[in-house]
Amino acid sequence: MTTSSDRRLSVPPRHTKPPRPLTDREHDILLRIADTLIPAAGPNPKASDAEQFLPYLELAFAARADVFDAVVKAVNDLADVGDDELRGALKQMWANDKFTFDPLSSIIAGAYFMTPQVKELIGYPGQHRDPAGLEDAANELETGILDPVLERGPIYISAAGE
Amino acid sequence: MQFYETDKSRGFVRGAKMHALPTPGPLNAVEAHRELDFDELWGPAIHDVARSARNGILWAANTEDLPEEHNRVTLSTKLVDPDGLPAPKIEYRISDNTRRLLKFTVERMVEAHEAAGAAHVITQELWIDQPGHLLGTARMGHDPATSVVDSYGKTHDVDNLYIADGSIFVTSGSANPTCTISALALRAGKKVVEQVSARKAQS
Repeated sequence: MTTSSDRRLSVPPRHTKPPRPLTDREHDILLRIADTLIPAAGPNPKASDAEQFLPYLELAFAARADVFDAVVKAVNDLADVGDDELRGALKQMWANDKFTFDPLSSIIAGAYFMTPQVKELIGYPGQHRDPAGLEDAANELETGILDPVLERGPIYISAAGE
Repeated sequence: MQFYETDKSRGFVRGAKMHALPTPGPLNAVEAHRELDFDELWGPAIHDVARSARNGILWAANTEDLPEEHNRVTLSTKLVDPDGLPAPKIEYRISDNTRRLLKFTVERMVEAHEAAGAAHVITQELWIDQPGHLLGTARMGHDPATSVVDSYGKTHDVDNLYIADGSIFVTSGSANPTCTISALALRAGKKVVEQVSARKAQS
């Protein structure tokens, strides 16, 4: 018997909690990093001002549990870097350690752009099904778009091109 | 499907099926721009990059990998699974034919973008984070020396064992394989029923 809660083997399980909760100190450093990578510009809020950014940051960390330890270590390593030097430190990480910078920035950007406020701001409706109508295939015959194919008829070319 | 069939003048055999896909979201747009300089992607620029996702169209293609014997699944002599059974060892190399096919196909998709008025085109020959269609390795055929199953999916080496999935394809083709897999499974299923019925009639 299957139920709607059964896990599909063809997709990875969805986790909504990171391997461990982030500490307040880690949150503080992360927000400083996030605001450096995603500052306010025009109508766009800086990362820490985006509504519900922290819950979405937690979701993003849960989704990237595979890099959690490496990213959190990098975050803690930046704890003593002052605001004036943070951009330079991140740029250095970008240049020298993409294996840390890419997932760190991906988690931050993923959280920011998935907050409902920012999604609406940038006009992103999210992923959704948009299935073709049942009659669309039949309509294709009427529109004439397939006429050249029907007129040509079936063809066969061997793998060798003969 | 214009570029599906072999045209030797292109320098490779077989071809590709191209399809336009819905645009991925803003994070995909960010990831697609990773090659930009730090200041062109991060900082104030990030907002424009993410917004670019709204205006994009994604062309993708299925391309055909030929049945090459060096691409195979065997049993590992070193690794085992949690039950102690040998783990599958997958050997896969992209052939020169596939490389030429990928290059040609990406060039055609760039032309499609440009014809549609694209302001900026980002190309990627291999989409390595996609699973692709896993086909072949138990290919069908009449000769046990060069195939694993017969045309009904019955294995040459083990009596009464049938395989009915994409592994019995003789080549990958460039079209999505599910309909063909379903048709082959139906063919194998009918054959099994036929044989069981014949045995019952005899007993």
